[in-house]
Amino acid sequence: MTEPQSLTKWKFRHAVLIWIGIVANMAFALPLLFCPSVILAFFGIPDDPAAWPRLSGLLLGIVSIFYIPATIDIDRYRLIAWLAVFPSRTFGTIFCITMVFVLGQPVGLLAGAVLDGTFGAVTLYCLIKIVRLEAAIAQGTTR
Amino acid sequence: MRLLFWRALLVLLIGLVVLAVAAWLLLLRPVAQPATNDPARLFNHGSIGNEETQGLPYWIWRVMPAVFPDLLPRGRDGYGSIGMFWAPGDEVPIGFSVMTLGVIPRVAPNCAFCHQSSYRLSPDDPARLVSAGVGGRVDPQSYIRFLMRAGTDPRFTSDRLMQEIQAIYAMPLWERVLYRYLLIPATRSALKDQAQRFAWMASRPDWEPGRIDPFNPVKFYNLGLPDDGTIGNSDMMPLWRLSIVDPTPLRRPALHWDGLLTDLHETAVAGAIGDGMTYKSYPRTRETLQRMEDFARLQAPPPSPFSSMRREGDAFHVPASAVAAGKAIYTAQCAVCHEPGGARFRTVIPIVELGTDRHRLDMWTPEAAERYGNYEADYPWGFRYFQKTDGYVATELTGLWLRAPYLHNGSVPTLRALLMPPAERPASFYRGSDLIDAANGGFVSAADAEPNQLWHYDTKRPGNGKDGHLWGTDLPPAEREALLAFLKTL
Repeated sequence: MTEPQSLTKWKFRHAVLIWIGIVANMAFALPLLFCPSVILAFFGIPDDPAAWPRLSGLLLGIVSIFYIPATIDIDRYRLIAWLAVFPSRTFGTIFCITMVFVLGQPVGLLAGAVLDGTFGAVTLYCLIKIVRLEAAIAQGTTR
Repeated sequence: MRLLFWRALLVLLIGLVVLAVAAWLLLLRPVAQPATNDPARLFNHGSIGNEETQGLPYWIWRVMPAVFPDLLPRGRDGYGSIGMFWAPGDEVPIGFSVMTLGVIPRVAPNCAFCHQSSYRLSPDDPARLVSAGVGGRVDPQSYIRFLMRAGTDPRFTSDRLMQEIQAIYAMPLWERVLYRYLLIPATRSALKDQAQRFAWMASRPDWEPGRIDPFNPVKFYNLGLPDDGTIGNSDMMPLWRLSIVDPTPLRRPALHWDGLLTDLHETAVAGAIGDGMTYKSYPRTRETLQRMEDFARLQAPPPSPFSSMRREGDAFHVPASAVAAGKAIYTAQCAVCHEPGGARFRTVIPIVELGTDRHRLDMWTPEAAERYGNYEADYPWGFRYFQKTDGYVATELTGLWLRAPYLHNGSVPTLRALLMPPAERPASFYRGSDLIDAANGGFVSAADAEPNQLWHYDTKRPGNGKDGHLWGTDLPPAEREALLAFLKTL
């Protein structure tokens, strides 16, 4: 028989490890975002331009896979549906807009803003409608 | 309350999408210029990818001379006052491209801004355009100053400019809104920035027409190097028959006055960068630059009007015997440096040997050569042939009759003066005429030749020195005349 206390412990340990992983990721992610050349030079990673679009594509694919659970069972994975809007799509949109209009990067990045912004907005609209309908059903004002 | 955040986020996302789409469609989407099979037209008006950085919305550019006539040089009208050749029927003078970004046409300078010429054989002739020439009448600094001063002038307001625009163009409402509330304020802000960027010019001698300091702006702005006080004022070079600088397995001919590059393609790309092209616009500009490069490789100047075939008494007649004697002197004394195939042709002749003004040489530093390749940190330009040299390049003499004034800084007005010892060369003269000086070879350079169109050139000012290049200066008078007759025919 499994000790309930033991299960709680392992859940806690899992959570701690996840957070350590998140912090470790952020230790790379934030310098890569704000001072990429410094972090690359620090680790002696060659400045091979093709490697970074590939890595971005891989990460985009992985993030997209994480959107799937909410399409299978939106009630169970509701939090993931919200996370897909914020921060995921929202920050993608803001990042691309900032790159073009603030940091003078190529205007082609606006395609990313349009893509993330459009899907973020329409899925957010759906979520708001769902929440409002659920509230109405709970209050007995609709079926 | 919780839904309020998500609703605000929804509005934000929709707003950002609308902003992105509108910005792309209205202001940023590059619309290709009309295709042309005319290489001269492409050279004269093709885009070099600098519209985003240096392009002015067409209607603002168009009315600026009318709003700020007092800011143009010498009190003359329109952009003609900066020496541009405006061909009949063209919407802009030679040396300007018009390219539409979004829905707004923008005007920006291209290679032909500096590399153009005109000439007249007699005062009553109409000026004839010579593509890819030496830009002897072009005054780039006055154009830059005109834009800088206009941008900081209190008259640069939406009300004033829109009044002038609507006097000549029935602008639709949507375009009026764009111009009034976005383009005019943004242009004013950009011109103010430009004024700061070129503030260093105030501490240098003026470039003067036909001349430019092409690399100091790149050093201080693009490369981020400190102001080193150098003076790079020099004449614009013609871009004629540059196929002769194609590298061979044995040598790479040097380009620019000081030979700072040894590759024509890199010269074209670096020139476009200096005029505002960025790695963002390079992909769409690459093909145009390649065609301009091809044009410069093949374009030839008009044949010299000086000929022994002309009747005696004609101002452009040169005696056949003198030409033949002059050619022999040229072959013996000049060809080794100036004739393709000569051992020193398109090589850098050390400054200690040349003895000409060294300011232009000192302007280009080893640091600048090293930095040029990666001044846009995220883009590898792949430059391989920048270098620092110790002298000036011995160039070909193609179209010599149209290359005046002479030496790299244009400090000697005529061929006759160039064959005189430096002490006997004019200490000052006037530049800016396109009327051929039949007697002396070059353009007329007297004070009274064309009042209000010429500019005084003082060889005593820094960068304007007339010393050096002593070849031919010790010839007896008869041989000197013979050499002069031959040089006029080149």
